[in-house]
This record gives sequence, structure tokens and C-alpha cells, in this order.
Amino acid sequence: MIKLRDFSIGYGSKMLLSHCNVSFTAGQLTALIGRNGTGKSTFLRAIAGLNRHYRGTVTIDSNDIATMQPQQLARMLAFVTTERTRIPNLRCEDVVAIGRAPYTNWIGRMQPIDREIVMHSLDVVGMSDYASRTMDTMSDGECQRIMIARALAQTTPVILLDEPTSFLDIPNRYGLVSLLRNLAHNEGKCILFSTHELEVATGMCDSIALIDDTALYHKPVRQMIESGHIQRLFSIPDVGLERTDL
Amino acid sequence: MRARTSILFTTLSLLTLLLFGLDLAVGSIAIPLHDIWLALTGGDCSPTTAKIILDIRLIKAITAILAGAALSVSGLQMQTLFRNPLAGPYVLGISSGASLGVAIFILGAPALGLSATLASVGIAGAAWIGAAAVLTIIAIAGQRIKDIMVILILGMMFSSGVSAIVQILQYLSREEALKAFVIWTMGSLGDVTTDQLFTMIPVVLAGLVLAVATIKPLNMLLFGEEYAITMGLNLKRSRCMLFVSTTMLAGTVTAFCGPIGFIGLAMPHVTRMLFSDSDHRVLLPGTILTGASVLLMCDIISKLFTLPVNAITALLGIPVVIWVVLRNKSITR
Repeated sequence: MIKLRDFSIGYGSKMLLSHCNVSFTAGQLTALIGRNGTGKSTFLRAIAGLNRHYRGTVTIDSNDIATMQPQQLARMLAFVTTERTRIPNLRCEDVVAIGRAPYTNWIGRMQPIDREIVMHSLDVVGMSDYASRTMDTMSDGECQRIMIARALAQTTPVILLDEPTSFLDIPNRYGLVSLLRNLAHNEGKCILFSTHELEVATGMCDSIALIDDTALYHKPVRQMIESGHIQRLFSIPDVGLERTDL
Repeated sequence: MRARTSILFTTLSLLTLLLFGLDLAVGSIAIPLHDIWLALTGGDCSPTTAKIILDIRLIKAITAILAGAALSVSGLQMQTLFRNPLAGPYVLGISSGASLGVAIFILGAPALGLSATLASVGIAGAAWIGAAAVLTIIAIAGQRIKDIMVILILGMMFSSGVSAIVQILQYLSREEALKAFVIWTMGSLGDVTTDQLFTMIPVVLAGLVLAVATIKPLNMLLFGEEYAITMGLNLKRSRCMLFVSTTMLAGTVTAFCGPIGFIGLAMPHVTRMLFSDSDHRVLLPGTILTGASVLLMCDIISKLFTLPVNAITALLGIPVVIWVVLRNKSITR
């Protein structure tokens, strides 16, 4: 689904990632891990078309993102950033509806099919009851779900999320990641999210992408654990990163 | 559309009509309503009455509607674009640009040997060129600068610099030229001639049409520029459309009426509060109506007490701005 060839990125003279070749497939949930400042956000933003200063090529479904129009890319890929978005006076339904922007006409007129998709997206994230509420009265976890519903309303094969769990408490974290996993497995989406939660990454995802120095490794979870990259990188020699369901 | 929204639109439209009528009725000479109607419909009334109504009050009332609507819409665009509740039509330096144009014209005209008549004809033109020049520079810079906050700061610094130049011109100029300039900066709805109105109407209407085309980009920009891009917004094109539309709206009004404060800053907030909505498909027509009706009201008050209109817009607008600042939870919490 997503393919990076000879991908390098950095800022100033600092190289974050150098000559990476990785691909992410449909129907899989991938956690992107790495120490602070190693370029997780930079990496995600580059794929999302927000940072064009990279070398190499990034393709989604064999389309080079460098040559795609913003609207074309918005139909392939949705992004949920770390920004805590709270728009006063805008009902959740309307927030999610703006996710239909790549498909609506010049003034954003919603067709019946668009409304159906909006309601379905709210339903998938379990927020149907919040359709008429406004975000300024909601918790961080609830807002995060609305922003994910907005991304779902873009009906894209790829969804990227930058640290979607960082403001959430433990039950909400697990709830959110299992939601992402269901989306990947049931709707065949390619979902990639950055996180600092090693337990979430190893326990609930299909594969892990790990940034180590300027290299990016991408392996299925078990292989990644066995490779010893995680232990070495995070210097946690005695934490049991076992899982039984593989 | 929600029931509340349609009720509000109806009420505001009626209010605007009512205030328009009232603005025609109020003035230093009392004219009965019946005569006003006759003058408007070309019926049988005294030539003096017809002249007062058609050549003075009607022009002024239409100017108030255009100026109120244009400034409010421009303020709404800037507030959403910069995601800043204290942004307004003048945040990018439109009024400083216009005042530089006027300053060069009024204060520099005697030095250039231009006659006073020529100067008075060209005030609006000079102001418009000044405003457009500043916006063009900001728009060109905006094509290269990614962070919208940098553009905001550039705009503010640029207008401070321009104001400094205006000050130097003021300092060097003669008394009568200085007085003419100061009067322009006070703002006035009454100096627009019939000919000027026929220039103002199409330009402001074109600006409003362009503003309608920015509704969808504005809704996407509620999430910030990065989210808007990932939802398919062509950022450069949208910014450019917003800048051009704001120049046509605020630039034109400032050229003909001088800088009119607070309407553009306060009315978008009043509209958001009234409609309790952030959807620009509601807010844009909403601000047109609130802006037009409030500026009509300011004009009526300014006529009743013979005060400059800018003083009234400020006295009405300041409480709104204070209310916005206090209501902003991130400041008061």
C-alpha cells in the first residue's frame, strides 16, 4: 500500500532517516516507535504530504505522492495529528462532515451518501450519541475519537495517526488501539501510528516500525521482539515483552 | 438548516430593512415617512426632500450596508485564517497601506504641486492602491512562508513600519493638509459621492462573491492549515483567494470611508454567538446581516448626536472585544 524507496529526510544538517526502503500493507495495524526526536512525526508528516523536503520516493498504491494534487492525496490518505483540536460551536456531526471535503463540491454540499458515511464513521468510533454535541464540552478521549471519525469519513485506504494515545488514560488507550486494529482488520485499511507505549505496540499491533539512529526497521511484532532492537534501543533489559496469541 | 438558524436569518433581514428605513428617516431635517416613500418611489414631493433623501441619506445608508457587510466578512475571513479571535480586516496592514496611500496623496500632493481638487478626487484611489500594495507584498511573502503566524507577525510589523512613515509625512506636512488627513482617518460614511458609490457597489459585491467561494476552505481551515491540507485544501490558492477577497472588501471600504474600526473585529463574534455555529455557510451570510445592521445603527446614532461614526463603532465594539477575551477559557481559566 505505502512504499518508500531510498527515502531520506532530515532538517538542517541533521539526518533523521537515511536511505530507507520499507512498505506497509493493507489490512495491517503498524506501530511506529523510536526515541524522542528520532523523526517519527517527521516521517508521518512526509507521507501525509505535509513535509516535501525529503529525498527518494513515497508511493501510495503505486502513485507518487510528490506528483499528487492535495485533493487526490486526501482521497488516499487521512491524517490525525497531535494537535488537540477543539472547535467551539461546531457539532461533532459537522466536524466529521468536513472530512468529506475531498468529495464534496465547491461549497461543500453534502449528498445523502455523504451523510450516511458521516453517521457510519461516528458509529464505528462509538460516538453516534455525540452527533449533536459540540467538542468544547467533551473529554480528550472523546475528541480524539471524533477526529478519527473525521479521518474515517475521508474513506481512504491509508490512515496515519501521530501519537493518538498520548492524552488518554489506560482504558482509553487500549480502547482506541483496538478500534484501530478492528478498522485495519475488518475494513482492510493500512493504519500506521506513532506511539511511546511499547506494551500497546507489542501487544496489539500486527507489525512494528522502529527508528534506530537513521535506519527504519519494519517487521512483524514477534520478529521485532526477537531481533532485540527494542530492548537495545529502550535499554529495558528485563521487561517481558511476550505475547501468546501469535 | 436548523429552525433557530432560519428564524435568526429572517429576524436579522427584517432588522436590517428596518434600520435601513430608520437611517433614511433620521437626520438634521425632519422628513415625514410618507414623503420619504414618495421620494424613493419617484412620487410627488418637494425637490429639496427628494434631494436630501436620494442624494444624501440613501447614498449614506447604502454605504453603511456595504461597509458593514464588507468589513465584517473580511474580519471573519481573517479570524478563521489566522485562527485568532482578535484578528480583523486590518490585521494584515490594509488600513496602514490605505493611510500611507492617502498620506502620500494629501500630504505629499502640495509638495508635488497637485491642486486640491485633484487631491480630493484621488483620495479613494490612493487609499486603494496603498491597501492593495501592502496586501500584494504580504500575499507574495505568503506564497513562500509556511507558518501562518509568521505572516501575521509580518503583517503587524509591516503596518507599524508603514505607520511610522505616515507619521514622518504628517510631521513634515502643512496644517491644512494635516487636518484633511486626520479627518480621513476618523472615518466617515457621508463622504461617498454617487459616482463613487457606483464604483464601490460592484467591487464590494465581487469581493462578497469571492468570499462565498472561500466558504469551504474556511470550514476546512477551522482545523488549522495542516489538517486542511490533509483534507485536500490547496493552501496557496485558498490563501490567495482570501487575501484578494479581503482587499476588495476592506480595502475598498477603507478607501472610500476611511478606516472604520471594530465592526470587522466584533461582528463575527456576535454572529457566532447568535447562531451558536462555526459553519461558514451560516456565518458568512450571518455576518453580512449583523455587520450591515450594526453599521446602520452606528450611523443613526452618529447622526442623532452628531459624532464621528468611528467613535460609535469603537464604543459599541470595545465591550464585545472585552467580552470575547474574558470568555476565552484559555485566558481566564
